[in-house]
Amino acid sequence: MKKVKISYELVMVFILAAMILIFGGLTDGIFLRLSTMIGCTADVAYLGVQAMAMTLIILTAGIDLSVSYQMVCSAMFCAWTFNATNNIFIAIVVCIISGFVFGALNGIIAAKTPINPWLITMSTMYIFQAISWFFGTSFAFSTGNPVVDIGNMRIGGIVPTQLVILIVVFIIFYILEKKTTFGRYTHAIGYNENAVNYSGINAGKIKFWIYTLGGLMSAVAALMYMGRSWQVNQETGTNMNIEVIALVVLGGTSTAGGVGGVVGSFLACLIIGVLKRGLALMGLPGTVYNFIVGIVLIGSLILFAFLEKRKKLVSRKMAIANMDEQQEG
Amino acid sequence: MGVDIDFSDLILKLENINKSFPGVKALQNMQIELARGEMHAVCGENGAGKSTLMKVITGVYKADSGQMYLNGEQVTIREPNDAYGKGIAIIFQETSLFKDLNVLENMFMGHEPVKMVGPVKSIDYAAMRKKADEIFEFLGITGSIDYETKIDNLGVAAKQMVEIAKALTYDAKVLIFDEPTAALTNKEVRALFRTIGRLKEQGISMLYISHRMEEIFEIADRVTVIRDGTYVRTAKINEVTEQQLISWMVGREMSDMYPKADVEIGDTILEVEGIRRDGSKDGFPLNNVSFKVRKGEIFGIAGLAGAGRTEMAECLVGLRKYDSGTVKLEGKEIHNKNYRSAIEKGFIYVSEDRKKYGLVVPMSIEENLTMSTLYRLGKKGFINFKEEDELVDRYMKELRVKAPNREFVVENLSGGNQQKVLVAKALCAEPKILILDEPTRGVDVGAKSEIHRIVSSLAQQGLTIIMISSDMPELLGMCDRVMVVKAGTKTGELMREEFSQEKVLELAL
Repeated sequence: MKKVKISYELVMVFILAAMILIFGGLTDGIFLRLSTMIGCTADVAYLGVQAMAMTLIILTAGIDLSVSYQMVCSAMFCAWTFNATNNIFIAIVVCIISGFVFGALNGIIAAKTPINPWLITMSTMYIFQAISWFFGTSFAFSTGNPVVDIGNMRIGGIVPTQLVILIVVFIIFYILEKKTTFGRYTHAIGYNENAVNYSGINAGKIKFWIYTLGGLMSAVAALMYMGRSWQVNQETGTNMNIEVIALVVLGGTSTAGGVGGVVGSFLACLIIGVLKRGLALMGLPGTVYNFIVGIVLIGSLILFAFLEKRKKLVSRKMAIANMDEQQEG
Repeated sequence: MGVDIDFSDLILKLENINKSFPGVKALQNMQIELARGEMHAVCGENGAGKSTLMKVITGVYKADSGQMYLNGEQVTIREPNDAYGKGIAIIFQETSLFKDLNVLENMFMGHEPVKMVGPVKSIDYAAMRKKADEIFEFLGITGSIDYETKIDNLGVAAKQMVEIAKALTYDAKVLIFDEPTAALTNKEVRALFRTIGRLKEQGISMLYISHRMEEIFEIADRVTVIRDGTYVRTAKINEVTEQQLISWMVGREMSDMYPKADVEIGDTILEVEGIRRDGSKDGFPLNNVSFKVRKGEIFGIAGLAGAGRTEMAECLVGLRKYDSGTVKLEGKEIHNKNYRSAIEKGFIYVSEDRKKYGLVVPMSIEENLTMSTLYRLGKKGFINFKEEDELVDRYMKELRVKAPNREFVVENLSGGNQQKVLVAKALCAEPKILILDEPTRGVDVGAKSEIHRIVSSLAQQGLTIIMISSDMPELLGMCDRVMVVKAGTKTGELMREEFSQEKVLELAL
């Protein structure tokens, strides 16, 4: 008899569908409207973009706690440059470059030293936060600025550009993870970095690029965030790193390294988007949202652990069965 | 050993014990019996299943099937604490003591005598000392170890005594020794045997795992031989000879084990001249090591652990740096800055530590096989999956890797098959020079001879092989020439005609 293969991603798709239906029922069908359903992802798309890079980082058994202040810092660089030059293109270029530099800083330290990434990025988190304060308390953009205009646009009146950007980034990271040597080595580093080095691969170099990608995605997220919120201020980054990490973990990527992938993180982003908007439409306060997110997280972690164990057991059984065959044969 | 033992008065008996791990049938219909007051030796080759059997008896592993009788009653032991409760204790190879705690605390760890001080339950040190005094007297070692000494400050032999004393705090009736003399000096071995003699006089039954024939003949009453996870036979020690025991243990001819093919040896391919490295930062030093290897040759490197064998190999392939010296490949001087450039030039190194450096065990056979050469399959970092599948299928077939499919995780393969995957991974790079470091460590006997056959046929195909091994019969059985190193210095080179274990040892020690 063949057992149905239950993957964690499949479970997530079911949960997503169930949540949409439940919220549809609870909000008298408002949630089932295409514009709401698709639109809700725009709230969290900037987190999702950061989560894509974070997934790779966590796959190598690393972490990037500084991600939120990389974003705030890049946003402030961007806004400050715009105020100074009144040229949005220069501002965007500055934003991207600053993200690259922040990520590369984490990457160099992670590649060249044996220090735990938790400690590296905790330290750089303080540095980035302080840098953002040098610029001032807050910046605001107004309509007429392309960042804001594009950030709030809905293609065909339905699909938000924020979602489009998330999907494009997701596809790029999906290809990177699944189809390239880079992705293969990313998983391998998380499982056993020594063995990667002993295969003639420079694991440090790969880690450098992964953290640098993290910085780049923070810069993209900075533009998306400002496009959506029209502003950035000193409080913006608070707890955002935890939100990004939560998306990755909810998506089934293990902080021990190796296990998981960007598909899970993408689905997790959609689930959180639906949850956030659904609860808001029901008129429930933020505290309820936090409460439910906590429950969803712990529930999914338990489920994930269960499925991983099941997968291992099936594999062990296969190994033993295979051995019997050989002895008889 | 003097005392008469009634071999029908069994304290412990195991029957039809089966235990499988993924890829390995560790025990098949295993049996063993232990009479009251008996010293029973268990012997077999590495990987024969001795330690697995002991772990089943002490509840570390649960047998898949089979019965165990203690004093004639059937019992099930679920976990190590169960075994202690039933009076069975094991003295581990590597001691299980807490090194920052003192002797007394270790002996009573987990079952400290307690007394009430007012409403507070507290440890009764006086009772602990009294009991410890009794046990030390029982062992005949009163006063030899201070109760307050931290374990870390004790020698190996003293630690072992504490382990034995700890076992007796559980009123153990059956003691299991797993290679107890491996790390002891001759004098310490004598002291241990005196203690064992005393335990026997007091009616304690013991199982004793050891390779050392002379020890078995000295202290055991009976011996059980096991091979490849199956029971061979049990005999009274005064009714067997050492030769008989060895033939039961090995159970196969030497020529099967080391299938060395005749190979026409070509010109010098690798020339190493005066390699030096200073081992102060990492690893061990090398002192002016020079050698030449010829095409199609199996060149052995012998030496003790820490002699610099692995360092030599890692210097060659750019995994470590050397301070001076030259390496010539096919007459051209080269310097491998990193492992990747060495792979490109045709070197490949198969690490001695398969799980730490060799393989990414949670990943699939396929992903492991192509790990070093993935960049060659496909363009600009994109993997050509079709090409990869074909390559993997080819090598799995060639090396006869036993697995359900190529997506199977390496973790669940037996040691022998893991080692084959590791060799296949090396061959994927299509090397000219294959460096094998301890190629058969921790694999079962069958897989060992299979790996030797693969190595032999690779040499036939013109591959140059450098083989590092601590397994002397393996080196002497497989190599054309052996270089011996001692503390980073080359002490000699032997041709196949002049091979003998004594000569190698003389040079290595």
